[in-house]
Amino acid sequence: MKARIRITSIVIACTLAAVLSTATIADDTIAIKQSEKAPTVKASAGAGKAKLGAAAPTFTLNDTEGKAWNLADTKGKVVVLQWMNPECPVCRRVAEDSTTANTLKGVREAFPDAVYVGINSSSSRPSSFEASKGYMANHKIEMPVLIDTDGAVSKLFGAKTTPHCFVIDASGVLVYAGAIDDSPSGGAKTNYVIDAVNALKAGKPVSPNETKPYGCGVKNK
Amino acid sequence: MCLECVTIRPRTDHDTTMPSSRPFHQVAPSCGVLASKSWCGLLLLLCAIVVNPAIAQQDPPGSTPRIRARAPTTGTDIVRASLWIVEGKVECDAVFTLALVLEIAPTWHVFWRNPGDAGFAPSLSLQLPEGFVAVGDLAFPRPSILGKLELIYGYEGKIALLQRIQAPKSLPPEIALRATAKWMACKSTCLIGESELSVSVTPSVASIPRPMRDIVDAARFQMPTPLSEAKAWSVELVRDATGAVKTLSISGKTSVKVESPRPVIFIPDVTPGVTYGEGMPIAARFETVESASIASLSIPLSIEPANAAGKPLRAAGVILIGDGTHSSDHCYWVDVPIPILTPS
Repeated sequence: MKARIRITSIVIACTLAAVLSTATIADDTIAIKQSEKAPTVKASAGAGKAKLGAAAPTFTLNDTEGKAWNLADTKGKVVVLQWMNPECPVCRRVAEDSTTANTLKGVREAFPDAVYVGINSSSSRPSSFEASKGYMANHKIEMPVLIDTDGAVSKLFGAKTTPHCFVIDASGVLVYAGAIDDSPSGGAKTNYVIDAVNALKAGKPVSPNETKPYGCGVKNK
Repeated sequence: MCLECVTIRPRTDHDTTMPSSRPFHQVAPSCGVLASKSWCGLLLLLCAIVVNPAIAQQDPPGSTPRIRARAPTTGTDIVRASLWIVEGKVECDAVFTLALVLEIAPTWHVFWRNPGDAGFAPSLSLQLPEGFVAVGDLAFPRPSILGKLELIYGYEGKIALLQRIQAPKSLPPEIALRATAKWMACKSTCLIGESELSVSVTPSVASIPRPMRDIVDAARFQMPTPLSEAKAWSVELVRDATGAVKTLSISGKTSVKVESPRPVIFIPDVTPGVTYGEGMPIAARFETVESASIASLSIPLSIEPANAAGKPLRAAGVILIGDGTHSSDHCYWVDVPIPILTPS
């Protein structure tokens, strides 16, 4: 009887050790389950890449509900594009400390009909679809998230980080490209996106109109 | 007048022998009653250690950091941060150097002051006692060019970032220098880390432990030298016919042979209002002039004063000579103010 207990103990011990070992050698990325049924995404880019002071290139992407979203449909409205990735800790930070929500609020205060969308181009990462939906829901951020599966739109705009922000004025001209604010680790003194839309509202030039974005790299295919 | 000078004992919120912000190791799971009396417990531990060596590791400071057994969730699982006084003591009314040592787990990296395409640089927010004043910015040693899919300027392994501090004319018997370190660590994914650190001033003497001293010494050796101190180098802003600055031109005599050139590379700093052409980092051209090897860098500049956020316009960056593995490899810091010509 005692021998059986001992043998059983050894088996349990080795099983436990094997489980722990698996945990050690497993890739230490943050796994976020995703649906393989993400909506088909096609970017129909207009001619030319985005350039400050010039008309922003148009594109069509599906949002997380599978609904097509076309930049051309926003004509006459101020548009903010914010690249995001639920896996990126900087994106989580700007959500958790309400930077994104406050930016959205500031933009809407200046232009109540402004269009503010998130774009997830991190298609090669295990995220995109359900993670984006959960991310927005968890942080109660009310904006559509577009899924840029092949990264075509990020290349079109030269989006390099998450978050990387772009402001397009009501005439369709790209007027700001860069960081959401001046502090990668929080506690920002200047919110560049809000400053840009406030400048638009005041009829003044956007200054600065280009800053160095911070955050995680946009992982294109 | 210096009333009392005291020496420094490095300390963090843990202790002097393990000055880490967070240990990398994971403590072996408790075996409970089974292990306390029965040889089965010993077998269990032995089995676990054999199958999974990571769980029994203890990481002394300066050792190669190991990631915890389970998936890391924050940057403090990846990077062990500690704070040290380089000189080992603080003298009244003198400048001393604070070292932020970051020990980075294998395969991960942190960033230089210009992170490249993405990321952000480590920061050290100082909470200094009255009378202590920071001198200049946090100094970064020469970065490496990392990354395949994106451009990354940063560090792997163990690095030290240095901050000079001016001490007051009199020192209290015991003080603590506190700071908050923040960083972003990446490989295929990224994590943000933050540590509250401190170095206490006590009457006892304690030099930096050897592993930390080695990290700090390596960082000091790899700190960029101002190019203005290099006699054989020159830097010039080149303007076009309208007077607009278009190019930063740098050239100098090097020990790098024209016949078998080793890299001489310019990496730009983050300079609001001044951006650098595509294709950074830019490599030097070589030629032989009077039997001397001359490296020349021509760096295209794009200047937008409105984006300078009210700060003076400047073109700045590092020139890396060689890959940092030879004793003759140097690193220069270029920092050139850009005056804006007003139309006459």
